[in-house]
Amino acid sequence: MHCEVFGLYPYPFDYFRPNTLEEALVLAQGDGMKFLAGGQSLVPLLNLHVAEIKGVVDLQHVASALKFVQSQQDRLRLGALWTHDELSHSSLLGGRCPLFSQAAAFIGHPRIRRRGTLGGSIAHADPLAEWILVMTLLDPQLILASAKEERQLPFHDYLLGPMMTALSDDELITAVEISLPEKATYGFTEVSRRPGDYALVATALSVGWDRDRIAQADIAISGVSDVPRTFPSISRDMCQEYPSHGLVEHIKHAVEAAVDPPSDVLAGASYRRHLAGILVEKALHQAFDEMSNAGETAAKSIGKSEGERT
Amino acid sequence: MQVEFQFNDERAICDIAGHETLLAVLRDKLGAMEVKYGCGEGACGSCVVLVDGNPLASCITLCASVDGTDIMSVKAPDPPGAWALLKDRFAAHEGAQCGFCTPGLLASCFALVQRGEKLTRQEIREALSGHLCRCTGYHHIVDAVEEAMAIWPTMS
Repeated sequence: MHCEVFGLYPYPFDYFRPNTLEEALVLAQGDGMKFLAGGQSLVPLLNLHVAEIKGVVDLQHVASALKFVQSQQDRLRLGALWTHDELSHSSLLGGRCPLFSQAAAFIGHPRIRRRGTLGGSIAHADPLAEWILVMTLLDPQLILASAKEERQLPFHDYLLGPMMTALSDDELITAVEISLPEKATYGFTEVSRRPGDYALVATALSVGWDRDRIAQADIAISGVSDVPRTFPSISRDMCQEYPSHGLVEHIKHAVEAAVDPPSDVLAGASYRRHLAGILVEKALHQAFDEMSNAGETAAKSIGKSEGERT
Repeated sequence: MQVEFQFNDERAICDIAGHETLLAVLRDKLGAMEVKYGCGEGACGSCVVLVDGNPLASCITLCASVDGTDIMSVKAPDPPGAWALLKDRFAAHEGAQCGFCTPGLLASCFALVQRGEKLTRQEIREALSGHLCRCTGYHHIVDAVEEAMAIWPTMS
């Protein structure tokens, strides 16, 4: 009956476009209200009648207040309404944590990247979304604001399951705060059936360095369990090691042995396991190569300045 | 509520409800049948129009959110001839088969051409990856866009 009346258009709801964050938070206290950022996940769900709401609070006039980068020595605080496209430019973060630009480039297609936002993706919490994988890896503090209070929640307490989060109905993710090691390089790669599709399997990893030795490492993989997972004991195997072919092989095989992926219509378990190994290998090479490139650039600039002196 | 925007250089004033998508208003209220309902998820690109020059999937854009903007579809007046050039090259290369995806594709191509983009074939494919052609005429479409990009700077 509904279908005849509405076709595949959303069921009726109200629309609000507040001018300030405070107004937006007050509006969100109403029953059945949803924040609308880029709309790339919410509006499809409304069209398909998967979600039913009383009203949306469009954040387009609030967006500029939630686009900021606060850079401190050991941490980085990012406003939640940066679009994927904006985050894909590494200059935004002044070269810090290039993982963001690496991951953003894999999200959807250009139209989605221009509209979709970091905070929207984290709130939607699709377990195959690139940002959910990145957040699983970096485990930032999420800054959550409501009309009543502002609170911080570590990401590992925030994500409760696929598309399930600890976010209250009236709360908005306003920022993420990441702790960054002094010197780290990153890898990010994924395989999907077609460009723009959600990944079958995706891998993000970070390697912290003590000169040219690995001080600390983290690996996160999505598509091998219901939500992205990390590999703490395998990551610990990398500590105090130097990058080598043997180390990459060891980590690759350890990851293949550790994952227990599901089979579905898109890919079988053994293929997903295979992808997990390959993608970790690729991502490790990215992180190692970035380190050796940085080393060479540093060596060159030292060489140059010495040359200038003589 | 009332929204007001430019549509193909004409002023449109519409009484709408909050849940109405731009696609619904363009098709059902303004009769713009060139804007197609494909997937309703923003994935296929059939409903793409230009909002302030940016390609946007009208099926997942709430009409209330485009108040005050300038919207163009493939039927927009075209003094500089960019739409005509694209349509001509699409025709020449048989880039339109059943034609359902074509108006949306042309809108995204228009934005690329107008920005003076000169892309490689691979970059054109990436730029248009938000459009599905179920006749799978992609090769012809890339041919047409490549040629339009080469010709446009000599016209503008």
